[in-house]
Amino acid sequence: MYRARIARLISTELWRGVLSELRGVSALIEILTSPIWILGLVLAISIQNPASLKDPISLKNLCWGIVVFIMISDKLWLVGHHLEREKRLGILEQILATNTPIALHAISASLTAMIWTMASASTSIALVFPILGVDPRPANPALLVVGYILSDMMASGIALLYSNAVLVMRRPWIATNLFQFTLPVVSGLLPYNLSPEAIKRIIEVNPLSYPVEILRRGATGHQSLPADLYMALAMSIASILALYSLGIALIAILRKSMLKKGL
Amino acid sequence: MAGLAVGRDEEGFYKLTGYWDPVAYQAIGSSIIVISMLIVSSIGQYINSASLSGRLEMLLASPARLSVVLISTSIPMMIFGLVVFTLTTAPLMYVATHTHGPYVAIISTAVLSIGMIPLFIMAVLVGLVIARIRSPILLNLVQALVFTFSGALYPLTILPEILRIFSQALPIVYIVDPMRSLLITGDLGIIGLKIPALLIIALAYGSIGAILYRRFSSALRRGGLNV
Repeated sequence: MYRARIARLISTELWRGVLSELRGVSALIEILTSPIWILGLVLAISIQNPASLKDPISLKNLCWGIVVFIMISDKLWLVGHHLEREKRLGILEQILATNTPIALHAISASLTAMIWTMASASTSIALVFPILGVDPRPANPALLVVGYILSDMMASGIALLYSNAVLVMRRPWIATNLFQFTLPVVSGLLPYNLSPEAIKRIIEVNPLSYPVEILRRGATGHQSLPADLYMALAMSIASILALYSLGIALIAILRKSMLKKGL
Repeated sequence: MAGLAVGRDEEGFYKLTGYWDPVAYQAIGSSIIVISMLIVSSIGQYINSASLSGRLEMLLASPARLSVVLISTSIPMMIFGLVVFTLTTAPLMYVATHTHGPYVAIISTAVLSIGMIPLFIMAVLVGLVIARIRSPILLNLVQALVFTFSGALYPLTILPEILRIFSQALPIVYIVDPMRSLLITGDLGIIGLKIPALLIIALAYGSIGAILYRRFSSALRRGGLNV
């Protein structure tokens, strides 16, 4: 009975998310924007060493790193700003009144965002990789799928946690703009072995680096972070669980406060 | 950071761009991108929040000029952008004025000031389109286009030919090249080529922008925000 109720809530929330986020001109614009960002970022980085533009391995590494950037950016804007957007539009107040679990409502936004990122990443791979002469075929498809799902879940978990901060910030878009560039840099956008020492230390302790490493190994076949595959998997799963638990707990606290004090 | 990712090759960079220092090259370009993005996003975000809160409807009903309100709103962010630009280019500006003379600072300020005109027009138009489609998502597209096709971070020659069409329509192309030429080499040669082009693009943005602004704003006034 209880399970059926949860399943119904999730499917309702997912369907609501698909209807409100994944249709119309906004979705189309967003999906078309990702390949443009990827092209610009890859060229801006690889121009430092023009020979790398002709080296398919370096380019492939970089292209997949930028796919991670798109993944994180999408999650920060779509999941991180989800509750704040609804608060501004007055929707959150109504959702609070219907007694829908806000944490579930926020998680449903990550499910929608995952579909969104998948569409953006596919468009980017289809359009940008051929322009740059990068072979889109992964070295290990199964590992790529695992790495992709874990990275996406991790990025959503971070965004879920961040959505609490967004709710109380006055101009959250400034912070999001900052995070969307710094977070990928310390998560493996730049290969670990080429990063400066300070960044290396941050990459090692940043939980997002591990699923990104799995994704990169699956896509390119090259190891960047000096971590065993099983250790990377364990780190990723443990971090995802910790992030979601913390995010849900904080949202529950915030919900109580919103119910007591209003929005 | 970008150089670290792929291992910097200064000679290869020189062959492609004509400049030896990638940091100076991209510092000038990225600071101009930051100014452009701040102008476009501050106006776009303002118009989006104003349309959501109902303030835009009040503004449209009042005798105030919407364009003046929008441009005034972006002034604090523009000042912030100029501070970023000044801090980023201060060492280059110092060396350039000492090596080539104070004309470098005067001409680069003039280039930046003229370049701001089409940027503001572009930002106001983007803001009005956001009000029409009722979604700030267009900002992301404009920022991506500015970043990728402005030629601020890499020469446009590395883009496929068909994609360079976008670049010619962006005002930033006509700002970054003269700025780099002035601040890095002190060369005035490119100024003669790019300044007329910058003036033409400013004029084109002004005239096309005026027509589109009139059309968009009157459509908003006539039909309201729910059209």
